[in-house]
Amino acid sequence: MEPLLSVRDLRVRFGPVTAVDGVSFDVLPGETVAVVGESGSGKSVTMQAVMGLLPRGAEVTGSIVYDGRDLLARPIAETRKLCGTELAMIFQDPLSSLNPVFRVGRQISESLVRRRGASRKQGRAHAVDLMRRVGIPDPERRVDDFPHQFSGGMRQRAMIAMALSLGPRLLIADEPTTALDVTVQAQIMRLLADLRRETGMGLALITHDLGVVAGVADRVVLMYAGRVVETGTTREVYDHQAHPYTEGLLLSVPDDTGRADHLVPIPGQPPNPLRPPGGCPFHPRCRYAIDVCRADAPVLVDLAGRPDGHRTACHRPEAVGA
Amino acid sequence: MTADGADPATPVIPGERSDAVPVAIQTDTLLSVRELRTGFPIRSALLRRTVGRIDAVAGVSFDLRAGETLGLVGESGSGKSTIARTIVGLARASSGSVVFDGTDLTAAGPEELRRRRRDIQMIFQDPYASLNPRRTVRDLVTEGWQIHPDVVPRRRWDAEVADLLERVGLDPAHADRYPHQFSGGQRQRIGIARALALRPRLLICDEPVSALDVSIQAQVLNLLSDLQRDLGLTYLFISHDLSVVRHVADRVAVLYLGTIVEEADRDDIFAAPAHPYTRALLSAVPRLRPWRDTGPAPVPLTGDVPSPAHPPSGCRFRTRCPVAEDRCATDVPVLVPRGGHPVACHLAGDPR
Repeated sequence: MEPLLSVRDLRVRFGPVTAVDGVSFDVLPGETVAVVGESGSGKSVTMQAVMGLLPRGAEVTGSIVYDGRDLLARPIAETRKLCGTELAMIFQDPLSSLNPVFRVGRQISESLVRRRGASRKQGRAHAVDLMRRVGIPDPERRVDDFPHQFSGGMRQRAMIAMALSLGPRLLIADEPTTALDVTVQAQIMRLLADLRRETGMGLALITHDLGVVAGVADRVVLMYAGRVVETGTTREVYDHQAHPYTEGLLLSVPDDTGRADHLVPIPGQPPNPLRPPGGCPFHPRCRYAIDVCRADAPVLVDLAGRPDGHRTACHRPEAVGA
Repeated sequence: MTADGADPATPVIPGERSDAVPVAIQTDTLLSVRELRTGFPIRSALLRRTVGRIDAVAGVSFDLRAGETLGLVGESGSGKSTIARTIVGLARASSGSVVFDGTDLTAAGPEELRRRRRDIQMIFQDPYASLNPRRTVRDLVTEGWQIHPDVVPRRRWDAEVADLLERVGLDPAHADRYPHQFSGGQRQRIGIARALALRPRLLICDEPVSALDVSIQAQVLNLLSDLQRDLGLTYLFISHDLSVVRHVADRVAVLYLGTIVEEADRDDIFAAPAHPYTRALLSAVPRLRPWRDTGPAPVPLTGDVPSPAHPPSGCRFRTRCPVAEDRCATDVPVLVPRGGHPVACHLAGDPR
């Protein structure tokens, strides 16, 4: 299957800081890919590059091919045209993404009115329809509410309705449930999974939450210090992790097996982006690091003997979990 | 909590049989909260007149034994942070009592309170917002000693600061740095050092790791458990994250809209949740490897938490409850042992 989105060797620099350092991954139609990482890993910057949302002054190289067209090789105006129609994005904090002085319904229908020339009346009907689809109760009445009259979960539903307005083929969701309570998070993740199934759109989910990933993602891309450190199908990576960072993350999560005396944290702190360590960026925190890790940065390669495109950027994948 | 029902956390139920044995407060109870209500006025936009009241905490009772960790779990609007703020004196109780080591903090005079506050310290969620950016780590840690000069004599300050920083895993040589020079996890360590400076007996941890990255969360959770072991601290651990609470707590109380709906030993509440809300909450926690275990059957909740300004009649959870019956709209369920441990639900078995 032709990928819907294909990112190759993406690099993003802000002055002296390399935020994204040679990232490659694909999203197939109808697939959910989770881009996972902690603060400063470059996961959000990667997706902002896809959406053409990087601030001026960002230096971007590599290629971002959407549906056969390299977005980086074309004028930004073309990317902008795709955004909202073919590509749509939802953000972590729905309150700061909604305009407080416009009614929710009007914001949901705005793209239909402005881009497709629909009348306000058609727009309103469209908004009611979308609000019903994302599970906002009593949409005929709530279409005239302002954002502050919505709860956090309802605002995120309104954001999703807005993103779905023109039937995108790829939805990028940046930490869509991080600000929400866990019961509401479950509702929103279920909604996204249902919508993806119904519409066949691709879903790129940016998150730090390994549990959320396990429940919804077909494939996972793990990032550390601007690079992809491991990728593969979710189950393969979780059950046979082959990068020390992945292993460390999975061990850090207090999981449902109950109380261990101690969690096994990853020692140290993420690297300072102004002074990244030489060699493998993870080596100062890695329990398996040897001389070669301090000297050479490992490249992302297929793991011998493992299925499903399982790749890792580690000099000693065989040591992990052994 | 013991299964025999003779537990100090069992609230006195009005109108119950009068031959019930009065429960003595156990000697090792450090904190005893009874029928606590904390409300806030709703003011009109125009004249700032009080037009109503929100009971963020609507009658909560629990006990905390010395040396244990009680996890308070709930979602937004459950009142968990307001309980914490009431205990440390950042919010005023409208009624009820908060008895710490024999002193009712809601009735104590200012001098008594000042002395007691030393014993109760708090760690906040956001290590970025809770530290004054213009103070060095040394200033932040010693601030409490200026207010309570009898804790550490001034000539010992430098040595004590170094000890504290070392204890929380920071380099004592960094005492003259400012908060912005530290990462999120390190800032939370500063917050912990600051809380420990007054040698408290009770530490209230309000979402202490929620703002931290996963790999750093584990470091801070381990630090808290080491400190508890070494210093004999008692923790009231507030979190929305059930997997974190499961890791740290000895007992767990689940809050919904200002009331406790279930309370039990950690293993009991995770193995045999009895309240429909607890079940829903547990089933909503994303599991790390859902393909390996079966886990709890999903109990999907619809809708949102109602506004505490207009709580539902009867059981506060009934508007979202998948098994609610008619009586749930009329009768308020009380938190009494039903089956194994205290549950506030009409359908969780007969009260004993």
